Amino acid sequence: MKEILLDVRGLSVHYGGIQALNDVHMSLHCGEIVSLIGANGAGKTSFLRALSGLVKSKAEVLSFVGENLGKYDAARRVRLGLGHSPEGRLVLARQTVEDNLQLGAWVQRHHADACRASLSEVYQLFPRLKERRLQSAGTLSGGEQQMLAIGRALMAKPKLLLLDEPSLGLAPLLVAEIFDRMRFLNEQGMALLLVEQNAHLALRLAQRAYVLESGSIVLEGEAQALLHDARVQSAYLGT
Amino acid sequence: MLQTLLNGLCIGSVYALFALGYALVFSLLGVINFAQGAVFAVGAYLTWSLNTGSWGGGQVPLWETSFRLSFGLSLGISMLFCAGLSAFIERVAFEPLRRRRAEPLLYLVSSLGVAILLVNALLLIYGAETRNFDLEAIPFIPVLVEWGDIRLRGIQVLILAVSLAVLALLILVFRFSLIGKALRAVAENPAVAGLLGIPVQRCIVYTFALSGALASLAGTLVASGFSIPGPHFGLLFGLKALAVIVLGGMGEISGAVLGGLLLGLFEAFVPAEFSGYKEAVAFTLLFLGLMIRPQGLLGRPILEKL
Amino acid sequence: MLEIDSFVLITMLQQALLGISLYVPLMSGQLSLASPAFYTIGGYLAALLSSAVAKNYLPSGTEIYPWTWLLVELALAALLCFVLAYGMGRLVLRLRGIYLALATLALVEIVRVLCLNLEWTGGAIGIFSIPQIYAEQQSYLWLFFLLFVAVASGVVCLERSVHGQAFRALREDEFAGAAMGIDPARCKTLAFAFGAVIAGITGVASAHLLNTWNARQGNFDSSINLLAYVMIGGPWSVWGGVLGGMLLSALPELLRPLQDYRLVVNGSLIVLASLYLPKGLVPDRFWQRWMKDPERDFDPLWKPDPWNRVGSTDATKLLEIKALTVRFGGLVAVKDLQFDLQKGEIFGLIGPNGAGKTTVFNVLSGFVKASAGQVLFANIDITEWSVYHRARLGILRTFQNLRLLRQQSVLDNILSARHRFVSKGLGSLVQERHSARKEALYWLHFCGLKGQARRLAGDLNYGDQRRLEMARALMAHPEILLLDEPVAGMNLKEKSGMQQLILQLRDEFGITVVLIEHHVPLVLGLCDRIAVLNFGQLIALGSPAEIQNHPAVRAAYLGDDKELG
Repeated sequence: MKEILLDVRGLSVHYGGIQALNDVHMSLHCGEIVSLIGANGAGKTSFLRALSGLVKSKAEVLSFVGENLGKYDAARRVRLGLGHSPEGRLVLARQTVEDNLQLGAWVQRHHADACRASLSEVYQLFPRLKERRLQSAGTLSGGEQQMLAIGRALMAKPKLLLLDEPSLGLAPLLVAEIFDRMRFLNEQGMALLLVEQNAHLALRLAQRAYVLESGSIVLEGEAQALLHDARVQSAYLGT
Repeated sequence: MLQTLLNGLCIGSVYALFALGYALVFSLLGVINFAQGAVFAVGAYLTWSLNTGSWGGGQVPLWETSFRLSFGLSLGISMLFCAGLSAFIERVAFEPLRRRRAEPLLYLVSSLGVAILLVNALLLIYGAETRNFDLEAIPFIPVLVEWGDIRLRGIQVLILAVSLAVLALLILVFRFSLIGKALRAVAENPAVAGLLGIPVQRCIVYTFALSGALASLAGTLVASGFSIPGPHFGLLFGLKALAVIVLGGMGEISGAVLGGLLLGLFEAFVPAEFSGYKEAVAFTLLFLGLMIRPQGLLGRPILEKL
Repeated sequence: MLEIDSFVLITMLQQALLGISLYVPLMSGQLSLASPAFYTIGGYLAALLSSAVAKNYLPSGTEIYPWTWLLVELALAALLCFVLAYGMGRLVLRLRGIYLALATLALVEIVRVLCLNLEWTGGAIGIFSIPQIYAEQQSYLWLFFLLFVAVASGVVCLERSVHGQAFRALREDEFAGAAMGIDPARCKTLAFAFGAVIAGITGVASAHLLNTWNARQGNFDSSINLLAYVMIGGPWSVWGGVLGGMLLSALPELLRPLQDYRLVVNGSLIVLASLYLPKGLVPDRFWQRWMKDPERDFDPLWKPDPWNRVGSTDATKLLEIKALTVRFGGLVAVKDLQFDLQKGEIFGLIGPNGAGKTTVFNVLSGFVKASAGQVLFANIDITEWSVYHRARLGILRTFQNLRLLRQQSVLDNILSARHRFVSKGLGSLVQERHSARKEALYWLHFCGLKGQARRLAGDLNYGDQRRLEMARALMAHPEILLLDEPVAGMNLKEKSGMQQLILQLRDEFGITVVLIEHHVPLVLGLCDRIAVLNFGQLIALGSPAEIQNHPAVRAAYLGDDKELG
């Protein structure tokens, strides 16, 4: 077994009086793809936001590369190697594609060579972004924005990439392209935590998966096994 | 005609400079910092004191120091001090509210409290008398510049040159440097900026410091071009700066510049017999601007999110 | 000593009145700083009118100005301010938040500069020797006290009325309010005008009190001061404005021993108050804790009669959508959509995220304008109708992202949809209030929210919040109920409960239900017909069995294997 990259135990998140996540646990090893599936409103996005520090959370253990994440803000977590491609893509619509990418490399802005190298890597991964590099990000199509959001997170050379609904609202062909790139990144050694509502896709890409329901993990295991689990099939695969 | 145009540009460029501070803070936090007007007055008084060597005059008795710093050095110190003051105001009156995600109105009230405090502190120290800069002590600046029919006071030329240079510099920085892009990222979406590793809190403090320095610069330029009519003059200028940023588009950097220049020009072209109404120009523009084009000249449409 | 004290009291009452005048527009969610402008206008009206009256109509040598004329002035000022504000309101109130505050601030300064320069307002000097109502200045305490009592009790009544409820709903969420049948433009204009009237009559009384009136009475400083009153006192009830106004206007007097330092201290106190009293001195729902449990009035035997607003049309098509297209900029969200709804059916709308389902709801409820096509309700073309108008017609909806009034109680949330109970006469007010509560309690229990009436809507769990959205929509008696993901975030037991509830709505009350839902088994088990959208287009329409085996649907939505290619 490879070493543990992310270890979460007893994580809960509250919004006002509402408990969005309750006692969630998850572990993720170096170079692994893990999927988190569940219905709308189950708390998948909240989980990712808690990891990257966008929402406050309480946890017994919240460690990443052996460091306790709890004491760091969002910006410091990026420096530790946690990249997040948020739901709904959230590109900086008013700035150009290249500016978006350059800002992604903020944590290594003093190493111009490294920045340039990351930029060309991202352009290699998503050639379409290079074609549109001077266009403002708001004018991109949904798929291109998704690529930009992923590319932007890659600029900081993350050890673990959190991906929130990369297939949202995209045509199947584009989804296939993006999932293909994710597989490529994983082959390069990057760990991925994938949140998806399209359970089929998610389970076929991942090695392991967790199922979230009403803010709690109700099921976990090998992705292949879950794909054929009766409960998962009836609830999320619609068969 | 050209004479009026230049007069208008001169005051307009100071409006732009001052309004830029409001626009920067608004673009980042979506709130208005009323204390900015008071910082403007603090900056003007501090430069005046350092430059003329005289302090006090209100409850504090008038007190002369033996040293008198040059105009440039006084201005520099004053800008630094006001940058620090503004960052301190952020710490005391904004940051605690932000941490609690208080509603935007409370920022208005707390910054207003700071403004009342500062203005009355100035009143205690300096009293309400009018203060004038000793313009002849500023080196290299002729009293009057004549060029054909056009006559400008030397200080006006200085104001125009300094303001336009600073404005141009800032616009370049915001458009092209990585820091400028990072600030715009924080303005557009602080959460996303945090996800990219940009230290949002530090960006906000620096922005407040910059807006304080700009307020001090604008205050000093206005005070040297005209006079300091009393500690309250900063608040009136602050109100005009609000009109400017609304006119140009709230939180738009180039909008603030355009709005400032426009307001200066409009005011300059008010005929002499209606000079009593000059003060209303800014507010009429503000009102009409909001009615006709609420997002301002260079602003983007305000989107309602469902 | 006594003289000073009574003058301080008068100032406190006066500032409390102005505080109320800022609070009333704020009740409907508008930060209007225009009060000082109307205060100035009221004062000038009193000054000019009373000077003219004293010169022309009163026997010379009259020292005491008669009460009757004062009443005339008050009435005229109220009328003038109402008309001005009502006219202006339609213009100004398109703006929101800080933009509205700035526009009204500009208004104050424009009025000030005008009064400073016009001839008939006396220019910079103003108007002198305004006739006195009392020989002694301290007797004005009575005038201000009476005004204060009248205004404060009026506003308290307003707070409790249907209008007050509507104002508060708009304050928290204008979209939700409109979706429940509240007319935002009218309510906001009214609130703005009421505030102006209060400021105007305060101006009348103050002009007589001060004996002189000039343009300095209402300026930018006073606007901001009023804001500080309301924010520090508490922006949630009339007593906040009153308390804030009284305290802050008395503060400089109380701090008199500090002499010149008092304004510095005053400023510091305002900063401290905004930092440490974020909810104000009188917090929201301050009085609620002493109220008895409203659910004791619940009558388990009563239930509302089924309603029919469509009339006796024999048309089976309750709603028709014809060639509907919606574009956002260059993006086509819905393209050439066409279907109709039968009365009394349960209709499902499914498709992947981003397929345009919620956009369809937004068009039906009026939040989004159709770029092309028509929507007909019982053969009436409602394509151009506004949101609140459609809600009153009987098209009600719930929101996917939950738009409850989170800071209000569960019962108040349901009551916010009580526009049907608006009464015309004062006498029937109590009666209407009673029957509205009775029905609200019925829907509360119907949707399974028993025992929650007094809790804050924001404190409920997701499932209960969804049920509350439904109860609120039912309170407005829908013909068509649009449910946007009614079971999202619910567990299995809750899901089946909701399923029963939806069936009950159709069977007991004849409501036509349209639902968007991702939970496929629920949709298949519940709906009579299902429409499937993908990329804004209708790809299938039919019975659950037909949909389940439709190849295009399987490919697009249910996640067929081919997808990964």
